[in-house]
Amino acid sequence: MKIEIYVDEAAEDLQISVTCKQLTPDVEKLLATLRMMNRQLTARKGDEIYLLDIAQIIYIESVDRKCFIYTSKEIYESEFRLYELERQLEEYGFFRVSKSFLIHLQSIQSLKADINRKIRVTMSNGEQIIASRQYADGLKKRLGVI
Amino acid sequence: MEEKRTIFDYLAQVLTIFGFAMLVINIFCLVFGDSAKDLSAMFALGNRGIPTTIAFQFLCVAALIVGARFVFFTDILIKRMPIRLRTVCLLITIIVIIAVFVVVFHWFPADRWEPWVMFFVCFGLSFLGSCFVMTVKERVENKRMEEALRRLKEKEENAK
Repeated sequence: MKIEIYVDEAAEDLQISVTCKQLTPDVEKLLATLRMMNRQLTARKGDEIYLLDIAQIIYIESVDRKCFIYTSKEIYESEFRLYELERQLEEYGFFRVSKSFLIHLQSIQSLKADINRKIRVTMSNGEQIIASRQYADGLKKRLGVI
Repeated sequence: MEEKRTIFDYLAQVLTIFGFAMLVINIFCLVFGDSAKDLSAMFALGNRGIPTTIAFQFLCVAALIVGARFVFFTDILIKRMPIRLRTVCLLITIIVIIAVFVVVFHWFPADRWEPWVMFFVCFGLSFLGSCFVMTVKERVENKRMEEALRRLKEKEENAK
């Protein structure tokens, strides 16, 4: 892979161009990472690829090493693993609440203390997600409760 | 990240319940021991103290209560159950455990209704008390979390 960087003081905006023989999964992953800087996430639904606005995402669930992105209307699949999404989306208000769930804090409708120091999180689409004991304290810290 | 619970955490819970029960029973023993020694195996030594057999029986009760709490207040064995139903199940289990120990080890005369009434009154009051404290604590915590969430949302809205 060849990387060329041009510094041009006259440039108005950051411009990145990718030249490749074909769109391999590695190239798609690279593009998806770049798009994330633009608050967009590449996701797949069936054979089609969609560009999702990060603000649309309610939560992300990992099932059998596959990541599913939930918006208010649709479910998409991501090529990233949950830990990769966690790292990349942290600065956009996402928080890991269990081994399988990454939630968008802006999409939380309500929070309720549950048994065994867990937290029951109700998302804006009505879905209830349990923040496990291992992550509940971190969530409280993130919210500024402790 | 919080560490997972180990057997020592449960052992600590057993010893806490046991220690508290021993403290209360010893106070009762000092006050009512001599007058109750003919009625209850618990006070067989009068106000001189608690028999070691009774102490071990209390240790067993404490272990069984912690076991019941593990069953009903974790989702390891029971996945989906409302908290109220869990509390009722735990309450019934504790009453059954204590009733079995009362009858088997003659903690008090099981054929008389007065000690049973006293037992249910004492047990009911302490259980209601702890439920009240738990409910208040839960409400305060929920309120704090909702408030913190509202602040966080406002902060992120303003940052846009």
